[in-house]
Amino acid sequence: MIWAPEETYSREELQAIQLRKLKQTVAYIYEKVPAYQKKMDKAGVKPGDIQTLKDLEKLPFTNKSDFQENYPTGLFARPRKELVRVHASSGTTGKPTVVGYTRNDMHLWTNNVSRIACMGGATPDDVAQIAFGYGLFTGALGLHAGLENIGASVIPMSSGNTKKQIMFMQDMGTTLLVATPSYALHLGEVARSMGIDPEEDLDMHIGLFGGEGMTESMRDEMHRVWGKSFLCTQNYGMSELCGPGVSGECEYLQGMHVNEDWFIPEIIDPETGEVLPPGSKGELVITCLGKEALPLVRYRTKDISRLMYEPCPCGRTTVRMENLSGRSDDMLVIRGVNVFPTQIEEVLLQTPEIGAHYEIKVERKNRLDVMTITVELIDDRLLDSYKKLEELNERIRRNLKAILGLDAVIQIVAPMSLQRFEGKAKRVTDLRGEGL
Amino acid sequence: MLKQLAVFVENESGSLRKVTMALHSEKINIYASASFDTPEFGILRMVVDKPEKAKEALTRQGFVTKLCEVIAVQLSDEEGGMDSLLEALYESNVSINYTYSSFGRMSKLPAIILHADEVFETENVLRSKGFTCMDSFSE
Repeated sequence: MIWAPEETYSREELQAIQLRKLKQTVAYIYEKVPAYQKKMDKAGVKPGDIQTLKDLEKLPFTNKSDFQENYPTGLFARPRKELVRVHASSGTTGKPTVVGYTRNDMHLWTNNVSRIACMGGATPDDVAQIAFGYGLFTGALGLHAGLENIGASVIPMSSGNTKKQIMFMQDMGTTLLVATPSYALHLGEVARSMGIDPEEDLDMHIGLFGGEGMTESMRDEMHRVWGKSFLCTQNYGMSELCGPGVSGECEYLQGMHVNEDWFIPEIIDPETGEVLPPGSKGELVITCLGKEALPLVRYRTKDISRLMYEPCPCGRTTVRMENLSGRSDDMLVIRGVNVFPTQIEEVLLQTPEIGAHYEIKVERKNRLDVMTITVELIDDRLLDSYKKLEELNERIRRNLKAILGLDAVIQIVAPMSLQRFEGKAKRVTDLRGEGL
Repeated sequence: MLKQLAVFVENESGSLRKVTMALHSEKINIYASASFDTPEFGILRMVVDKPEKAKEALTRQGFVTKLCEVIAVQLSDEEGGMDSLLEALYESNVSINYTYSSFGRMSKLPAIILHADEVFETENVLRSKGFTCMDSFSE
């Protein structure tokens, strides 16, 4: 099922829509958002300079740091009373990245998610279990609305509580699972360990995955756990752009179709900022078209991908972006949560009992990401009792959880036992590797 | 009352040895020591002959160390010795944090090292009940 006619428009038709909306968007941001106006003036571009799609290149980039500098709502183009929803994601420091939606934005977002849900095989007959964490994260409520909009029956389970998830799958006849790919694998394996064969005993046959990338070896593993006929696709989005609904895989699994009438993708060289020729691999930059509350132009996603314009057998004509192959910054995705090492550092630096050096290690245990942070003890007063050391451990863990929304294992070691670096420190070790 | 040296050690092979090597090279004698099978990190507690010098040597090598006061109670080497000590503490309503044992080098008698939140008061209580509290292991 193809949700919107725009998904099958000819390239000329799509480009005409893009150019019309781009001109409107640029005029809109110049008028409504002082931060954009300042940046455009500095770059010497006026809204009138945008006459072709190629002229997009004249506009300055928007970065995550612009959100930090204009925290919380300085990039918003509409007053608070016009907002009907606010979400947030990780910032590079303690301050989150706040995003907002008008009623029209919600409508646009919902329909874009309905499109990607249909790409992934969803229909009105599906019983959809959402195992993303509900809350500030856009994933859960985004998929929730998009699937409801199609007419599927939505079960807002949220994440965790694995046994109960499996009970609902059995008792409600769940057919579609929304989760991070690693949690989906964990769920399938727990079901198997309970003596349930998902292929035989459950109606589950569609997985819509997001929040973190899914490698091809994870997809193979997904079929081993959930069954050969399980259709598992991934989709892409980030809260700054709207949330999920930017792009998604169709049943042919040849990259993620971008909703091009709402988003213009570009691929740039992350070092020079230059736009690369079609088919090149580089950093994905997205311009949102038609968003009211938070218009966003040339947003640097820091995700590495490639754009593919060849026709897809599914009938959609929209460009596809290749599965992500890394990041051009040091952001980590842990259990679907975006984590910047700078956020962790900020918490650690506020803890006087420990030194300035630290190490972050991420591993996958039982299909789930485990983050271990090693810190050096410098305060001898804690040697009075194990209790004081435990309390320090617990305090660091709690403060990190408050900022990241994630549990970490804290390891306290003796001073000078962590490696020292001359030049750029390598503090993060990701042992999850390619694949599982 | 005497000084106890506490050293932060990691749960990793060789980490206790690093401490004893440092003490050895400074010619420091260990009278008593206690360590436990904690999962991640440990506190090695010791009574040594030259506590300040030991702390200085270990700190120089990057260890986190701390000196604190503990009580060493001399007991008779017979059944019920430890029980009488704990009875006296219990009756006086004194809670202790931990104990470990050694022996007096001159007296050849058992010694229990104990730590309480109120070290001075605890020692007074024990003295008033007739216990011998040591100020040194070498006397």
